[in-house]
Amino acid sequence: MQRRRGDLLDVSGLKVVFDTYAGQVKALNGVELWMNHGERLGVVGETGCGKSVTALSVMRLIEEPGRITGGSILFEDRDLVLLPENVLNAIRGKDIAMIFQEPVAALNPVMKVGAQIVENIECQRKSAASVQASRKGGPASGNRPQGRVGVQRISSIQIMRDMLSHVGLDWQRTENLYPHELSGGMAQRVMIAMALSSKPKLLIADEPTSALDVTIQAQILNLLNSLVRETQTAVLLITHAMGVAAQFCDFIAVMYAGNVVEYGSIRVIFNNPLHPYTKGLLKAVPKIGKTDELQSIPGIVPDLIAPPDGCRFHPRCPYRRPECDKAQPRFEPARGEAETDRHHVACFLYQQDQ
Amino acid sequence: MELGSFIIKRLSLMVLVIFGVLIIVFVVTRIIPADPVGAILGGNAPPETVDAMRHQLGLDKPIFAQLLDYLGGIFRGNLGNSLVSSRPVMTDIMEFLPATIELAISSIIFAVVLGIVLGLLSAVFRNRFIDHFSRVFSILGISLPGFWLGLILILIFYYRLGWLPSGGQYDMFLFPTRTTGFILLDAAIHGEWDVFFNGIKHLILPTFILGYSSTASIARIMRASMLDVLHQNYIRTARAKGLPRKVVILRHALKNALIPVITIIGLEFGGLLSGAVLTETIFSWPGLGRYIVNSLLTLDYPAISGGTIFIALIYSVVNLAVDILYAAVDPRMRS
Repeated sequence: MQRRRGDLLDVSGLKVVFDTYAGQVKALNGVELWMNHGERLGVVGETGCGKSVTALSVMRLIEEPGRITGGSILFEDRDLVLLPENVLNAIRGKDIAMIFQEPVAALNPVMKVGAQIVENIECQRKSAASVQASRKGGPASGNRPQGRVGVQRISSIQIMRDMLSHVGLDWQRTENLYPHELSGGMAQRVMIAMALSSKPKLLIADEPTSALDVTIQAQILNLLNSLVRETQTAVLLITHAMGVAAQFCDFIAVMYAGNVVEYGSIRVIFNNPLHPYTKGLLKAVPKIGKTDELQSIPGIVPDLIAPPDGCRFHPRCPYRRPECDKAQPRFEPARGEAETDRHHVACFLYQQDQ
Repeated sequence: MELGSFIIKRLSLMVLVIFGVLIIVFVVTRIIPADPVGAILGGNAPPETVDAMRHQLGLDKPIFAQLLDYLGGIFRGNLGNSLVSSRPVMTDIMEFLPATIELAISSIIFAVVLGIVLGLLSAVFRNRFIDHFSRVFSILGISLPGFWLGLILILIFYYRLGWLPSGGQYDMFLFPTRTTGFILLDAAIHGEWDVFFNGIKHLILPTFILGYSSTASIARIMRASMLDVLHQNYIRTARAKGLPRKVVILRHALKNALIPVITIIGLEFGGLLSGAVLTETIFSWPGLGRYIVNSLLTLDYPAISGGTIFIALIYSVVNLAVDILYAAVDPRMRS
């Protein structure tokens, strides 16, 4: 067992496959990333590189025909990969909450939004009560005085209203609306209110602004920024926009075709990118004031049913070497950098035993 | 408030529909090349008698005048007199209608409850035993003709096993007190529990035969709709809250999956009413379906029109109820 790397979340060697009629899609091929309490980690990469699958795996929400085939997801002191469904349900929503790309579709169309938030608060209260009871050794509902439930419900409604005001919505107008009556930005605010209502330790945000108007994107990011700063909530931000990650995050994990190819602090990723893919990705970001042609990475994202042997990036890599299609490069610390930058890369150019 | 104006709009539309049905039925029965007077008097009656009869029934007037007479009668609650028995058609219908309504309601309840439960289980336990069972059950329900299955079931449960009666609403040695005309309702009101349970026993086979194909359609729609809903983003959100699977399915998925099912319940009810004609004949059920069939055989114009109007009326009322239910379940329909 290797050394524990992050005290909140440590994903190592995570493999996920999807069994389809066309063949087995090897969606995650040994993902490595970690974070401490209160940190913000951005996961960046192209569409289909496995960002969202990674996020859903951490929630253990991968559905049939997908399944986790290897690796571990240490969350605080537990490996989420090994936990049974009922224990996971006590962690989901309570310790780890999630917001999604399309906020309107992520809300139940036939339930008022206030009720959906209250449901989350009540659910976390119940699982907390049952955890407490199981620690004491008694049943969860034992000797509960009559009327308690009603009082709790009222306080849940109060929390819901506070949360709605907190995310900049007028609760009197919003709580009785249905999702189709909300704009995308309002719906994402509702989702954020719901996710943060249980004071999670980790918030997973899966492209929270990609489906929104550009002006709304900035508002939502600023809101998220100020809310998680207040509560010191750790955030795992999934995004395809390098700029968003740079603004928001402390650390970045760059993913390519099911692997984290480079990981490190914002500083090292932007100032000293090592992996050829990261370099290519940064060149593909337009910069104000520069008029030279925007560079793109030649080639296309590989088919994950039959991915390239060895390093999955090698067919597109300008620095390709003979060993690149033979074996998968190890994910190793980069040489000569401060440990606080956590700079790691998976590329034969930097392999240490050569 | 929006729901109120919605209902008023639908109600006025319903009046138009009934009016249209009325005119179509009236015209169609008058233009078919068959003569009710001949049917009453036989082929050998002398011409004077035939003319007198025709005059007496008002059939010598122009068709438009006949229609106006008929419509005028309807506004006074008079559907005319039967050409065969001379009894007011309204009286006859009021006698036969309760039996049909009782059978239709019990069939639709059976179909909705069983169809939704089967469809739900089928989707949740996809490709497991219950799914295969429910799909075979549904295919049979849609493809087996009701009149054949009805006879087979009578053969098994009445003739071989003797568990259930072969037809009728209650055993002939019972003399239930009638108030509303609905056997089960009357029996419950008067505390005649022997009649009540006897009536239930008589309802089982006709309910199954009449409701089976609707059960099958509802189960199939429910399964497809549930499978679709289970892949929606909001179900993932519900799971991300840490809700137990049972709550995710019953609180979040079920209500959404019911929306398309509600739509077809109204349509199925129409099929059920026309199916009632056959089922009532097989099970000697003293209902409106059998009344209409008998009227057709004797070319009893007012009876045919009257019966058809009532069927159309029931169908419209049920579909109005379905639309209101639809708006109640799906908030997107209200705006």
